[in-house]
Amino acid sequence: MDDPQIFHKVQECLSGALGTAVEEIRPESSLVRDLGAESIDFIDILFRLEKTFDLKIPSGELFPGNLLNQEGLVADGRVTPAGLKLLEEKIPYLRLDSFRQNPQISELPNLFDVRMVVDYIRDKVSKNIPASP
Amino acid sequence: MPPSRIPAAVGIDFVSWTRIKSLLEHHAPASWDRVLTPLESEKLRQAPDPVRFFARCFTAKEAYLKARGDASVGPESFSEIEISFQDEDRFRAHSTGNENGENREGEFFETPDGIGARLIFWEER
Repeated sequence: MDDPQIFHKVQECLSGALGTAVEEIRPESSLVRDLGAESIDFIDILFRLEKTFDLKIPSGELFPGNLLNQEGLVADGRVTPAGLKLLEEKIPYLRLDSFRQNPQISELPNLFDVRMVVDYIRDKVSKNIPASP
Repeated sequence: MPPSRIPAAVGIDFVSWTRIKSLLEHHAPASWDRVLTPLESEKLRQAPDPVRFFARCFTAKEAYLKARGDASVGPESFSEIEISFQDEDRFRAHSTGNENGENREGEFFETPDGIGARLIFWEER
């Protein structure tokens, strides 16, 4: 499956979960800020991606989940250098470049964009790890 | 003077019946495991109204995470929080994560459109 195919299928998943027109879903669109995704939508999105691509998406692999709940990873509302390092290691699809300058935890969801979903799916598909045997 | 307390953090969440029903129609029972603990899943299977049970658990967990300031990191912490219903209007959120198993109490509110939960973290003064 090539990139345009993956992108189109991701667009359809997001459109189905969020009720947004497919053409409004661009690679740079933030799921939260631009497409209005809420917590319940993330669950819907994960299931639609799993079904569409026949993948199992383990908790915390695409979105950070409770990754930063451990002590020392967030302080005064900001992700610490240790937290940033962990994010980089565990969620390599997340683009942290601009976030590093002002790593407010409240801004983290705005980094979840369509491109990172496509990158994640491409990686999983290329490793050929289907959910079903 | 008796000890007083002030609200240190507030978490409120609301979910529409339409949205929660749509999620369950498309993805149940798989969605249960992503949101509920094993004990909650067991209780849901015996619940007279599973949609309402699921919605109550969902909003209570979200309200708890918002009060704790963690809601922004995504929805996948839900299975580490267990909700027990005190009565029709009140719940207790129990964190099984790394917060020494803390318990917090909150309450539900309902409208014809959906259900919500609110929870306050109090600070003794």
